[in-house]
Amino acid sequence: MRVKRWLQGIFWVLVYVLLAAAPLLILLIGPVPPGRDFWREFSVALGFGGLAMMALQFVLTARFKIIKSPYGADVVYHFHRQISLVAAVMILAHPLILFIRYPALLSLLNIFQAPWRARAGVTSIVALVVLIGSSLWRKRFNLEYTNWRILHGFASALAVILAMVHVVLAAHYVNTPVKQVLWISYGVFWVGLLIWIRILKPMMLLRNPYEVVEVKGERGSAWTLVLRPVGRKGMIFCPGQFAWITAGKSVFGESEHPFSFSSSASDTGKLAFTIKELGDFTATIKNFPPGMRVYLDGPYGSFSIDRHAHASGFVFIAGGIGITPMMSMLRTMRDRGDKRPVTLIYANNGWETVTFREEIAELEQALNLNVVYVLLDPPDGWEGETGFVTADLLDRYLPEDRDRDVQEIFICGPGPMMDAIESTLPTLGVHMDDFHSERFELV
Amino acid sequence: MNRLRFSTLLALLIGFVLIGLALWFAWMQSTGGMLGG
Repeated sequence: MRVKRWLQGIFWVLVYVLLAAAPLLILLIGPVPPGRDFWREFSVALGFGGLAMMALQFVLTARFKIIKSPYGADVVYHFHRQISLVAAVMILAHPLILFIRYPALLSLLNIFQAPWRARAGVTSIVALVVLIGSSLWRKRFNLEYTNWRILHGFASALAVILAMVHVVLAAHYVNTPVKQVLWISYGVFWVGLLIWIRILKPMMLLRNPYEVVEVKGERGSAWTLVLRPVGRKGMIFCPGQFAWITAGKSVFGESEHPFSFSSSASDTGKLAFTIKELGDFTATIKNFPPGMRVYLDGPYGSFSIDRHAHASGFVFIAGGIGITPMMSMLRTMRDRGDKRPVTLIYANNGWETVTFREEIAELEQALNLNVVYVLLDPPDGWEGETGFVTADLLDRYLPEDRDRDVQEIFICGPGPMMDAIESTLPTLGVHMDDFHSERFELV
Repeated sequence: MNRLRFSTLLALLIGFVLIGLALWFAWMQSTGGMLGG
């Protein structure tokens, strides 16, 4: 199973490189226009490569389960972010090299007098700069997540479409009918993908509505949203996975938000998501009235005990609302009668804000479960663990047997906590393949 | 090395491969190599 996932992972990387190199390969078909000087050709080649990478970004975020499965959704989104920086460097280098080598070309920046090919190119690059800037510094710009998604969708489509127009109008390399057909096919493929993501996929969601059963308040400013499918069976998911929720507004909008299931995977008739009130959309959950229509796209994610059937036990490390996928896994284990040993290390600020603490006490009776609470701000008389989840604490509570493929460790919590734990585990003898994490806070 | 760092390295590696391809393309074109010119 693990070898198969590795092979799948390598396969998709090779497909990515091939598609990113495709424009340059298309240029090699048939008669090639006369060569120009090195720097001009290098600049053009960088532009083609960068454009292909920008177009490929749509594939990475199109939620194709087959692509995300070998890596995990958070890794694909992280790659999407990092490769966009590489693509941006290549695309920005395209005009910069030309301007340095041929300063007269600076006049093309005057979009009032420049030819259309330059107007398209310059506008595409402005859209690209807006795209990258708003993603890197969304919080600094006080840009709400929903507004950022609207901007992101619009600017990305504009950047790629105008760059393709720029290539066609520049025409130097799209110089034969065969290449024109190939280039147009390449463009149609990306536009088709955009139509799939923005129109067809949301239309499919309309056929699978859910309605709100109730919204329950939980400790730690969290709310559990309970949904049931309307007129059919509910979504089958693995415990620990997540779904994108669209509530109240049109499915064609950008108001989708990813949340982990907190309910048992054994009961698909009632799906629950526990969501911490952090601002914008999450602050509106508590006002959802019973009967309200909600749409789900999912399930997604590889963060699940079901992908590690061989494991003889599990360790769950949760920080704050990161308990949500762990609750789904614990509830599912209870419903399945799964008695494999589980250690839950659960970090919180204070005792009163420990989400699900009462139910976790019940689960300790029903499961082979050992819970270690770690509090940053413990109450008087607290005798449990305090402070952060350190290497020393992990070493004391992780099972003795840390051989590969024996225990599987799941981590979900704030980014800095996950970074620290992921760096620490290998030093404690845990193999990289044996710990798993899922992150949503990427912008 | 965690999974996210691994994906950062992969992004850099792919970037180097594509920049290498662009350099090769430019060199071939500018020297009139196998692409004609």
